[in-house]
Amino acid sequence: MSPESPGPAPAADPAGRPADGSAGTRGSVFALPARTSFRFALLIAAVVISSVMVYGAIYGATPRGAALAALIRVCQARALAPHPNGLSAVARALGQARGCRAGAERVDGLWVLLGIGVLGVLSGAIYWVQPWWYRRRMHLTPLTGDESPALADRLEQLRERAGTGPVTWLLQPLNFQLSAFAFGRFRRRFVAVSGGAVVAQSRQPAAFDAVVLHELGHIRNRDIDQTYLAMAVWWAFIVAALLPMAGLLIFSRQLGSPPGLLWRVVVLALIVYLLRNSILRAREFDADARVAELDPDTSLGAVLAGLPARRGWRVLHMGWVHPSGQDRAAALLDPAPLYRCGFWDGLAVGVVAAMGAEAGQELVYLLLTASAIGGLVPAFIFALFSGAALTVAMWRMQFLEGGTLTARRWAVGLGLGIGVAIGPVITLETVYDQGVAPDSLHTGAFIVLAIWVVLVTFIFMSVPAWIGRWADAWQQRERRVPARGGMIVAAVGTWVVLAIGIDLVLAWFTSVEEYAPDAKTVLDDKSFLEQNWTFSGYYAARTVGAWVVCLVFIAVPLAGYIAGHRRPASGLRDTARKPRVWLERCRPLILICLAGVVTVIAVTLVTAAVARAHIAPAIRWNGVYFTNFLLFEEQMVILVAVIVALIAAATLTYALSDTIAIAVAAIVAALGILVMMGSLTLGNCVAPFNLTYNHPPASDCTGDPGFMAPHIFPAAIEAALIGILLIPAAHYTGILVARRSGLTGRPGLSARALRWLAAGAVAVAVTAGIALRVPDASAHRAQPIGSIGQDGWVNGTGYEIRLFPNWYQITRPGYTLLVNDGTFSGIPGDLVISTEAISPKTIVRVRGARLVLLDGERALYSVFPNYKGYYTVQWITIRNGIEYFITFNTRPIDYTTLAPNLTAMINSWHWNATSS
Amino acid sequence: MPDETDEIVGTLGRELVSQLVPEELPLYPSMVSQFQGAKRARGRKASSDDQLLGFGAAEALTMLTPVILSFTRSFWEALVAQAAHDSMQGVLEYVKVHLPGCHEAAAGPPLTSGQLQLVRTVAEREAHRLNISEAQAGLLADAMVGVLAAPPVS
Repeated sequence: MSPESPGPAPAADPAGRPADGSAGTRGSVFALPARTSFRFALLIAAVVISSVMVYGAIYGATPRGAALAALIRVCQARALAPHPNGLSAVARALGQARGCRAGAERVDGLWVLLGIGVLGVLSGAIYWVQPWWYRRRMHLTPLTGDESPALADRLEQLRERAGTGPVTWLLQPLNFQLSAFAFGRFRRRFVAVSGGAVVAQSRQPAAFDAVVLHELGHIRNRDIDQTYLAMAVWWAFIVAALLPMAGLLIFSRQLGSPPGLLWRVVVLALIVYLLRNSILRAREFDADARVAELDPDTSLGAVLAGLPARRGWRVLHMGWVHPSGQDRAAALLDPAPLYRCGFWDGLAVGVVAAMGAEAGQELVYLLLTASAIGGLVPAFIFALFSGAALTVAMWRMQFLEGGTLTARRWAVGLGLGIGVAIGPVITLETVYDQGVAPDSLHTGAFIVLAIWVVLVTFIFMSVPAWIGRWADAWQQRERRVPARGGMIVAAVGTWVVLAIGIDLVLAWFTSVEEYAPDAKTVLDDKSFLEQNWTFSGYYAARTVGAWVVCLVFIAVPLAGYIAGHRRPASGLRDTARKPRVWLERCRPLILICLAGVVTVIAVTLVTAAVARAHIAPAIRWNGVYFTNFLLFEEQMVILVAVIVALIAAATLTYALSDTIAIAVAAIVAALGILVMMGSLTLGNCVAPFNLTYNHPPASDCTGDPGFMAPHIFPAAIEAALIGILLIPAAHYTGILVARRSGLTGRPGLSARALRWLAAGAVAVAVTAGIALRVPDASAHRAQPIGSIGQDGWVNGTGYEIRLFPNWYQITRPGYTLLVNDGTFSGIPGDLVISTEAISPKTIVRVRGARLVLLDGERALYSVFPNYKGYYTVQWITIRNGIEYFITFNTRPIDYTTLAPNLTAMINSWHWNATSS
Repeated sequence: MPDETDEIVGTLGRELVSQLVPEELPLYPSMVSQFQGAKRARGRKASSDDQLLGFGAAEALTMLTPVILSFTRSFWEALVAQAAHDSMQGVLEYVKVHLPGCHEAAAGPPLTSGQLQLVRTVAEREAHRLNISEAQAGLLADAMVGVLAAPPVS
């Protein structure tokens, strides 16, 4: 009896193009690396991460750990005892605290390393003895040719056909199922054949061949070492980490919050377990595909279809290491499952990457002095595995599906983002804070966590979509090709992007730990979103990482496009048509950019007008308001640039239109900053455009807002970064809209006009809303501390002086006090103007003073760089029987900052005939 | 004597397996051990369910060796039980001396047709007790007769 063969494999294009009616060809399944190869490394990394956390917690339960906790508290208290004032002072104090406990923390770090070392040695030992253990436990006996030479010969024939190295054949005689399994260790490969399979060699030879080839397929696919090493690490983790941890949780009182630790350890173990199983299931598909490649006429499909159906709830399938036989048989005919990945794949990648980086950073901080580089290295290490795994998965999916984005890529991105977001929450370090949900059950903690998850997911969600687009750029030739070289390039790019992103996420997570306890207070702050959005983007755009990320997102697809650029078939170049073609193509781009710049001009004018109309002069006078306004206006410019880029991504039909859209965002943002500079210059001269003055000083008209020039490049980077997050969605939306409209070619004029009108209306609405919001948001925490007189003019006895912006008059009896509002800058400064009636014969001498003119009147000018701890400048003059004392005070280190203010105010001094 | 019985059953069973289901011969030693150890300690049948890098849980193939071993044992025990009969005693002695693999060159007459007929009757009776079909029972009985009637291998 012989099972029916499912028939020959679908005809395949040698180049890997899908055959008619099938989603892929068997021949092309191995054109790209298996998506699970890097996930084995990810699995091992997950176990190591978990071990770091567990050993750290175990150390905490020891007397040394308790002593370290006490030492941390003592060092912190000692360093903060002098009550340092200001951010830099606090940072210095915390640095001293860190130095105080560095030695003890290093011991903690060495303990953790020792634990990992033990785990490594135990893993190696388990890996090494596994073959012996399997032979003993399964009662395997050598399968020689003595009893059945035909069997031995057949096995060797199959081995040669599979192209593997030497294999030791074993027999599991009392297993009557038609089965076999492969195992081994470095350079030793074993295949155990069941009694049922041995019998099947005579009764069902085709089925026998299929089963044995399947096992040889595992060997050919290099599954042995990966699988059994991963299993060895898993078992070592259970024995050397989980069991001691369980004992401590039960018996020790030193471990802090047991529920918080317990659920984390359970989740960690579950992640590792499920990841292991998913990888093993995926390897079965690959081994089946290898059989089909080795034997196109294989009966494997029929054998798989005949496997007993597996029953149980679908969720329990996650505990299986084999997919169902029916699914495997179906995959032989349609290998789509070998290419696809989904939400759970992204989640696993994200969680392991984030947790690994966090654990690695913690270890680095324990062993070494905290530094930016030290913190970045773990992120790079774990992003290497994650980036490679993600790139291979998306490359394969693009190779299968081709064409444009699909919803599946977004599912991967959703999982990736959520995984990265919750990774730091699961780490054992977070439990000690007790402020983050779900350890804290306050509603505010959950709200903060939800916001965190949404934001981080938003940031990472588009990464798989981008990788898919890169794959498309590299794979597209006259026919779709694997482009392995491009995949490596993309993997490097993804690695870099994920490393930078994860490092930032871990740095920002401290905000969650800080905000969670005060969530209600924070969320009641109406300017919370603007402040955090603005300053996060502001600082992020000024990091080297941001520039590198933008470079990656432009360079990788561009390189693919260049690599795949087709030469004209005729070999002759129509040079006459080329410039016209390029001009035709660039015209929409140029128009879009111009529209963006015009929008920025309009928006800056509207914003300034709204500020002048809606915000009180005394508030606009405040330096905080001015600074906020410029920052928010810059963000508004960036927002306009991003909207323009999204419109470009949704409407342009070029190859690489989404990559071009990134450039559009950067260009429009840069031009927008120039527009802002122009607006400031104009405002210095033309009153309606001046934010501060009703009548700006004439001297300001030549003022150079060149201080905005350093903002050009960061604004371009920030716009590009935000564009990177949103452009894939815009591109996809454009495609969906086109599909729903049934458009196959270039839409008609009316349709194009309607789309442009709709896009323009959206852009106007959004930017108008923001433009109206900016003036109000800028007023947050900007409160006048005094009076600004009449457009800055303050009258005194026989004089007038004009306040410099951010200087206020504080009412005092008997003298005029002008004060610089240093609430947020921390820069104190005051100008005291006092008068005294004197005899006309009074002569004033001041040692070291020099004569200057104060609006035509001679005055004594003295500088005291360090008078009772202050930098003091004084003018003394006499006019009409009144002696005027003008005294300026500030800290010596702040004089340089306030000198221009002082100069402007003194230059504005002029005498008048009024009396106070 | 249980050891002698085990040896005889094992030897006869092997001959039957090699004739009837030679593809099960590589499994024979383990099956015999399990069969003979089953009376003292029940062994667990191995399984492939969810074995790492295994093929998966497939249906078990039907093995005839356990059936053959059960038949052989019950056949031999039936022969021993009828040892009082002169003819059967002669069969017992013949089997013990002429076991396949036994190198004693016994210069004795082969089994007579009457003895073979007796053997067949016992075999058929024992085969029917196994709840197998008539044809299979006959096959087993004929195979046993064939084994006993075959000249010793020198």
